[in-house]
Amino acid sequence: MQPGVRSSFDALYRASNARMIRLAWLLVGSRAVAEELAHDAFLVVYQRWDTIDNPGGYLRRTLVNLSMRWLRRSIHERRLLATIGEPPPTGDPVVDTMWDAIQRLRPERRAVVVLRYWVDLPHDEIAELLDCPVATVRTRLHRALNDLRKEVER
Amino acid sequence: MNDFEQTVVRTLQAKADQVVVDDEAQFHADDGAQPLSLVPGPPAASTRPRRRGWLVAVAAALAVLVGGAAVVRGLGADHPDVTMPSADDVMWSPSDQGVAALVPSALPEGWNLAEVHAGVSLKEVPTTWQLFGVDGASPLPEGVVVGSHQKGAEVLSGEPTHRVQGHPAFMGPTTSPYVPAGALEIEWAADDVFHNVVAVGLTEAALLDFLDSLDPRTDPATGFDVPSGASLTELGATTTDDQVTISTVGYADPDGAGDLSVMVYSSNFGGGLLHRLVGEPHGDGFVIRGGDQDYRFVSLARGDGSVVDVSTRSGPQDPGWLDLAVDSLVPVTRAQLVDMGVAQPVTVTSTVGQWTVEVHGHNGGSVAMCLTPVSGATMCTLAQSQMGFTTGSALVGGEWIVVALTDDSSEPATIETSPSSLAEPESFDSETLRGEREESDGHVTELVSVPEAVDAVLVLVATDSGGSGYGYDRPTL
Repeated sequence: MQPGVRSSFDALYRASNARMIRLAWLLVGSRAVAEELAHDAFLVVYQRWDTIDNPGGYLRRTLVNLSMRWLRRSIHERRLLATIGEPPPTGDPVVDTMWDAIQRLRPERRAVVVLRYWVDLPHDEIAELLDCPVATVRTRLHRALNDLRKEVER
Repeated sequence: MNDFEQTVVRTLQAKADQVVVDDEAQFHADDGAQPLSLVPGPPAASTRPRRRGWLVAVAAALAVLVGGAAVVRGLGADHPDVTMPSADDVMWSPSDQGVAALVPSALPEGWNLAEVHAGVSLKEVPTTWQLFGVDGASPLPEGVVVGSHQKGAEVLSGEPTHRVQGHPAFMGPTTSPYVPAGALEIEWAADDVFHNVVAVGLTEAALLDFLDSLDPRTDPATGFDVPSGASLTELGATTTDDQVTISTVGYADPDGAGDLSVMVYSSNFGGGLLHRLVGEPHGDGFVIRGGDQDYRFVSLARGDGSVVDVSTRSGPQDPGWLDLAVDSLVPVTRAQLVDMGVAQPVTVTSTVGQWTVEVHGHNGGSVAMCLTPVSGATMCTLAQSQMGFTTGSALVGGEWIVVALTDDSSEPATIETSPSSLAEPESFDSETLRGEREESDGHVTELVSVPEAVDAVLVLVATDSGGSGYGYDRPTL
């Protein structure tokens, strides 16, 4: 990798690292895991820097894929690791209740919620990120919101 | 965007704002980049450009996704009483009568069985574990646990931070929940052998000096010899097997708010020596207590080499509660686990073709499943559940029945042929088995009579990019 390219990568890293960690955290619910996943995503981008056209987009897609893969792993792993050292409740009951509900969403629905409402992506870009039809994104979002309503009204 | 969606936005932003990122980690150690503090706040754990090792090591993550041998229990007119074997007589066994899990005999009143995964086996790389330190009572003020094994799929990537024994090495603070803050972790590969080290009480320089002083054995995968005059001596060594068996039993309080999980590993990262390094003596083993007010665990390395992790998110705040649970653990057989599961209330009853399926458990999880043919005796088995679906497998009258239940808002489950219960989905050509399907009361029940030529199946919930689920080998009589 040429020095100039490395400089560009470093710029991407500095500009995106915090946001990528936050995105991963919202997806997986574990600070430690989020940092590892964000790092892994940067590593993939670094290794393929010369062959990718849109490093920022590639980085986000990689991170989402890694997060979804992790989420499909054991609930036990998350049980043991995810809650250690995590941010405490905010003290706002509406936020904390909603966050509890978001954490209970199925991974693919949680991903759609985070990408739509935090990253602020349109449906077609979410579909591209998650490699699924736009209609699936709409369905998942609809079901996710229904799930959240049921949870917060319990 | 309506008010509800705006609340979702506000929640995500509020929680994201809580994540303080201190970019003290240098992605390139040699480029002189300065740390960039994006959000003021207390320092967070640093990241390292290296593989994710602890996640799998600590919790054997794939257990839930792939495990689950069939456990079948005939249900007669009278349920046999559960007779607990001696706690001193733990023999891990794949048979119906061998010890399959440990359960606490002391629980707060009203707590219910909510999850059972019995005897899930995973392949592991045989590893030699050595503990070096200054002999004394645990926890040791200074000590090093070294793991050595034939290199498998480990990938050490990024910029090495140090060199050990002449090889590039990666050092940083350990992320293991078992080990106190300040402990160091270092990994390196020497030819075909991979080494993983956890150290407490040593500076980086002292640790590197000690590791460089070690003499690799003729077979490097069997570890190191300590030269005379070294600062630390070998206090213990063990070799973990090529297979680890994991059992999990979970409980929930009557409101579903509190949980207690008992995970038993036939062997675990460190082979119990990590517990001797940082834990306290407890019975014939060593115990580590950790976590915070929201999540606490007690991890016990037993004299037989097995490790028991008892954890809770929101159980009673009495700090001695987990210790009581640990001390009250008794071994149970698979058959006893089935009986315990069947004792839970029926949550779903479904008629599928010529079969009646009853699921036992609570809202938080299913623990047993009973299958009744139109003519013949009821057979009950353990049920596994996660993320909105429940599965079970049983040999009923010589017929292998596999059942998958999903709620009607979920993606439908599929039951696919597989070379083994441990096979990775999508790593082979599979055939989807078709059986009876019934939709009722918000559930979709799929029941398949598995053809005799099929030795294993995977029950999967399909996603656009893969699937998750459980694997079953053909049960034996």
